[in-house]
Amino acid sequence: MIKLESLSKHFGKTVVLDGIDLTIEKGEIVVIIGPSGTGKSTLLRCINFLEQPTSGTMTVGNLTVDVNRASRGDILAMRRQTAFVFQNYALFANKTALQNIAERLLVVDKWPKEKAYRRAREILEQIGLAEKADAYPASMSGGQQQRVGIGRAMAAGAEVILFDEPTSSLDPEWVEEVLGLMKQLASERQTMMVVTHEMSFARDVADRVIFIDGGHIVEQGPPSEIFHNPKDPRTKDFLKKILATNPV
Amino acid sequence: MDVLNVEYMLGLVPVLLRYLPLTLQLAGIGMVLALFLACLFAVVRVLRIPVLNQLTIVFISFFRGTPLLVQLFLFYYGLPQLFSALTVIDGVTATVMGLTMHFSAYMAESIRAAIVGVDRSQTEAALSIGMTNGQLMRRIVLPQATRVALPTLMNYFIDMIKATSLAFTLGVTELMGATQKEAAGSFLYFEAFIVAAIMYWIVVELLSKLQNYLETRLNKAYNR
Amino acid sequence: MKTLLINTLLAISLFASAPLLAQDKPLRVGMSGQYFPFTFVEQDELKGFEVDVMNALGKEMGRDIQYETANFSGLFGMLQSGRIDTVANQITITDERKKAYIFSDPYVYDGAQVVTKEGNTEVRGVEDLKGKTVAVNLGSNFEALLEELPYADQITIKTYESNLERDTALGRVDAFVMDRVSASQIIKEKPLPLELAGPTFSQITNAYPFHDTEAGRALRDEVNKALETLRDNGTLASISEKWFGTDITQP
Repeated sequence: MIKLESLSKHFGKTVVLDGIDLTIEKGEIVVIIGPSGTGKSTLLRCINFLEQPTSGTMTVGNLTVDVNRASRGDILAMRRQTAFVFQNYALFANKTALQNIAERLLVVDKWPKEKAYRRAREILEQIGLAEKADAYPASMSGGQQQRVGIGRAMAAGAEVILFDEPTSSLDPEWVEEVLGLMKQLASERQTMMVVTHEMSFARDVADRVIFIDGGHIVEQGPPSEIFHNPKDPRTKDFLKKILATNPV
Repeated sequence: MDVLNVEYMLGLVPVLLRYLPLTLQLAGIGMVLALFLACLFAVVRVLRIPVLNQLTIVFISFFRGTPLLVQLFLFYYGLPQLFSALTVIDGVTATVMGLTMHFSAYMAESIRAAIVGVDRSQTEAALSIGMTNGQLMRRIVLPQATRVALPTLMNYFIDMIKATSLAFTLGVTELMGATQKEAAGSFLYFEAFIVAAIMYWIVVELLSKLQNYLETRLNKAYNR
Repeated sequence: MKTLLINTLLAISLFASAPLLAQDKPLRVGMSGQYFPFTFVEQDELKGFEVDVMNALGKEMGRDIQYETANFSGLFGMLQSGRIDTVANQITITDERKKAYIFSDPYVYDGAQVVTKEGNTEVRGVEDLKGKTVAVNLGSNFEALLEELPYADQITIKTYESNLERDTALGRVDAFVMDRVSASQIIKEKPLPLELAGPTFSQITNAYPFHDTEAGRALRDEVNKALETLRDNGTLASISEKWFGTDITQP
């Protein structure tokens, strides 16, 4: 379970997140939508402490921290509970696909080598890239890289996987294979928070859609409700624009 | 111009070869220590560790800002004048100290640049899976920075080999010192220094081969 | 405050160098190894006038000699920092150096030397150059030295790029002037009928510098005593003859 209470993030005088309150149940698939620059990515990055939140409290699993009193140990523990999938994949350039997935198990979780690599191979099977085990990121397509990126997040056994626009950097031909893998994860009831502009994914896979604008949660609900019966004029406006370019 | 005295040159080869190992030792030990120190400095600079960062900046500034020969003189002649117990620093030690500090200052800056040049996304990815700063440096950033820094570091190593020729000023008879003295005895300066030059050249050529090999290995991950 | 500091340091260094007084310690001698024929290397062997003299001194004193070679620019630093006891590299006694070090008695006397054709009875020294033609090397300071003589206006000076010794031997000039050591070497090495005429003028003396400490003074006295013996028994002269064909250890 994830619980955010009055989570805020200021960049200087700019308020990017303004007191977000949010609870996500275990196994829930949440898709976050909203205009660019409204704090969607920042929200995910705050949960992973890639950004230091300005104030608020976060609970992930059985770990609760007041962001202002978080020790180094708290931050590391929080990161270990929240896996991150980056828009630009961000695979370790000096490591093979297999090593990318095993890295966290070896270094952070201190698994023995053999066990870590066995687990990494299992994940490679799951993401359909067993034959790419020894390939380096530079030699893989964008779609393959992002699948390894997801595999790396899966290896963590984290409470939640945070997807930050996972298909935005991909050529259109690779989008489907990545979304397919995410759907597979969703069907296994992996708790997920996904920031995306893929409205079809939101409609088909999400348990809940959250619309964020101006650092606030404007509206949230099941996809059917948000897409077919939005209440707030800002939600209506956003959907009208985005559905014109990305029809569901 | 007289013809080159080839017989003298050939006779000089085995004599000078006796001093080549010392030259290589000075540079080799200096390089290992300098690399270690430079990595430490670079990490301190990149992570901006308080106090250490300021000290490192001053250290680098001094050792980059003054000639190596001046530093060697300071270590070898200057310090014992202040503290007579430091006369125990012999010429070899002072040379290695000088080479280490001088070149670590230069190398720290190129390693720092290479570290800073590693894509920010690499750092974020490592942090996101819960690595500590140390793990991040050791496993992700330094290996990638090594690839970028390698050609520059090799250049410094080559430079260091040649800089060992200053050691004779501290009474350490290495390849250059031996050559100077032999040339003074025979007046065949051109011949003597040609032999020494060829020896340095061969060593540097072998190092270039090593560099190519290492570069190929380190670039393996980056070939499409 | 500053003097106190210096005195303290001096006292410490004195204390530290005190064991040097022990007879069993070798005398540590610095030289460049690059000044033919005084100190040079042939097939890895250190040789030369300085080495021969120093070995003879060591034998006389009953001390081993430990040679340390370094570039000339490093020698005084090694002496200053106590890594060697003295320098054997034709160190000229100057007022500047006398402020920092004490010197042994001179063992080489050098200076401007008049050289004539062998058998020249007219020119037997610098005072005989009046009315003569004298060769000097272009760019050397010997021309200036001749100009300083009271009878300079009666000397015809000819400057040479090279081969002034040949013209002297051929009688085209009456004499040439250069430093005694170089002149001696030319006479020894070239098959030309030349000889030194008279003693040097504008004399310089070369000697061994030591630290101005108790230990340094003791070493200096020891070396002086041995030098005197070697001078008296002709050893110095014979070493000089061997390398220069003349005795440069006398004024």
